[in-house]
Amino acid sequence: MAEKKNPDPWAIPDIGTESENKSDTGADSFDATQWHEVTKGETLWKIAEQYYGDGNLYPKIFDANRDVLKDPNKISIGQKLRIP
Amino acid sequence: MRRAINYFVVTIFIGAVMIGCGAGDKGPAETALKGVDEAVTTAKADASKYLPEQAGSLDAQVAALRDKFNKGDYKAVLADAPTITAKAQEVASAAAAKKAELTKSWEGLSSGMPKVVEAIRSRVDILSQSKKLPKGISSETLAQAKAGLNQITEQWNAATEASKDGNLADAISKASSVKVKAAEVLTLLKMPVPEALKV
Repeated sequence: MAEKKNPDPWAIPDIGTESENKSDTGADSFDATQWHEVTKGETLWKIAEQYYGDGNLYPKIFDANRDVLKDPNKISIGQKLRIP
Repeated sequence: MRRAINYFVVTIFIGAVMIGCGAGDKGPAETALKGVDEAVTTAKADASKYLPEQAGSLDAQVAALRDKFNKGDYKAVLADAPTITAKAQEVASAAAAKKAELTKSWEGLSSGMPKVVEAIRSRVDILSQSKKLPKGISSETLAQAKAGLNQITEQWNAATEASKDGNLADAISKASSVKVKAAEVLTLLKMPVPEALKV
């Protein structure tokens, strides 16, 4: 598996062009969602520790990503997770 | 003596003709003044809210026109009325355009800002439950963010109230303060600042 360089934890991932993200009223330009792209060796616990300082808060991330996660122990490299 | 009497009669006649001509203009002048009043009243419905200075200028012009009418200067009333009516229509159009522009701005803000506020609230709530804060966020930073969130909520409620009262310009002005504060709090929390909040 290719080793991925740790991304900037505060970086906003590319989730589409600006025009794709804007509605007629420009409402999506207000989107403050923080995203995290999963890299090798990461777990929800580690991601929670990175953003919240406390790994025990990982269920917050799991709950916010139930549309893409079925099991908190199974996350994939490259997956983009919402950080509430 | 007879000649003096003739002069007197002619003078009286000319005077009567002049007065007659002026009185003849009174009706049309009154109608013109009424028309101006109606045009200005219509224009001021939106202009007094969105273009108050221009609405004030229309009021002054109507007052001047009414003054001319009261002084019997009907010809001047008839001459000035079309200009003021045209100005009133121009102001009405400009006010309608301003209203549309402000409405669009407010719609964008009212659909977008709650998402920003919710994102901040969610992060503040989660960090408040954390036993140890992440790198770059101290307990003082979190306290500042909480205070900022309270200010944002208060200012946003005030903006929403202003919009409900129809004061869109005031609502947008208050929302601008909310945007600045929200960008500040998002930065404190190491969260991304949305495009719309960047100055």
